Amino acid sequence: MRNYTLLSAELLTGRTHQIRVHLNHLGFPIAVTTNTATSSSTGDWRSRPEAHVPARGRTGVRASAFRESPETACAASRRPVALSRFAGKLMRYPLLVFDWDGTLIDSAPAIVACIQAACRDLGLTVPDEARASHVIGLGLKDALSYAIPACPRTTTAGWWSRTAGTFSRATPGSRSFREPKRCLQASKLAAHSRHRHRKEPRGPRAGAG
Amino acid sequence: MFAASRCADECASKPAPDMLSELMEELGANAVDTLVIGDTVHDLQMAAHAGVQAVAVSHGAHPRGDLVALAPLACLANIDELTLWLARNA
Repeated sequence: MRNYTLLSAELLTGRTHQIRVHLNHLGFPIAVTTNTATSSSTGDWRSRPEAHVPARGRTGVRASAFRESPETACAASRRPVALSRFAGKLMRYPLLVFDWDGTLIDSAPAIVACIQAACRDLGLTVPDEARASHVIGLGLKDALSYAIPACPRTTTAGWWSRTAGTFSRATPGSRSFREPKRCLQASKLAAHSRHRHRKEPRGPRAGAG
Repeated sequence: MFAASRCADECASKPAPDMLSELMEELGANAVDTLVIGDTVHDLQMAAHAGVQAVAVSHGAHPRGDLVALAPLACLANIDELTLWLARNA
């Protein structure tokens, strides 16, 4: 077994022979396999493709299986292949969903300041920075019940309009929007060049904030 | 720059998977074709609830330790690292 690598691959998409093709490309051909991937259930387990790549009905490779333990795979196989170099070829996400506040734009400090200011205005207990920033991304109800546990329900509307009002007047965050824009453009370009070859729908990006 | 968007005013907010599942439906993507990038545990939980993989950035609202505890594919320190990671892996 010294020259074999036991690898667990999670099967996610419906592309034919992807595991075989990818592993072969990486220099780790599946042992004793056939094109049809059919085999007898008897005999040495190494002769059965499913012993190496447990099938789950659909084929395809999730690259994290490689990224999580490339060293193990290399050491076990004695093949000094830089698996991470190939990870991008295995893992494709046609849809990237970006959170907005805090991820693409540096609005977290301003939101925290607005939450605290609104609480001060309404005479409520002012949450500290950690508590206030924890609720960024939550809906109003969840945000309020965590940031201001003692907040009476009737105060909700006032709190929200105060926070929103303060925020709309707030100075934008310190981080420039140029960096996130570059990031989005770079990932979009990469998607385009990939999809040109693959003739698949161009990769949309989406925001969930 | 964006093909679609959802915010908490339009459907159930994070950590419910609704924003994500609506985006996937609108854009015709499966969970395995989708990657979430976010700075909070709410983003990572939303992704997990929708069966979608996620990458965290630690320059935002939540501390790195909280994000890493939810086992994202990667936890990146800034936009440059994110750009590089996406170019290589996404």
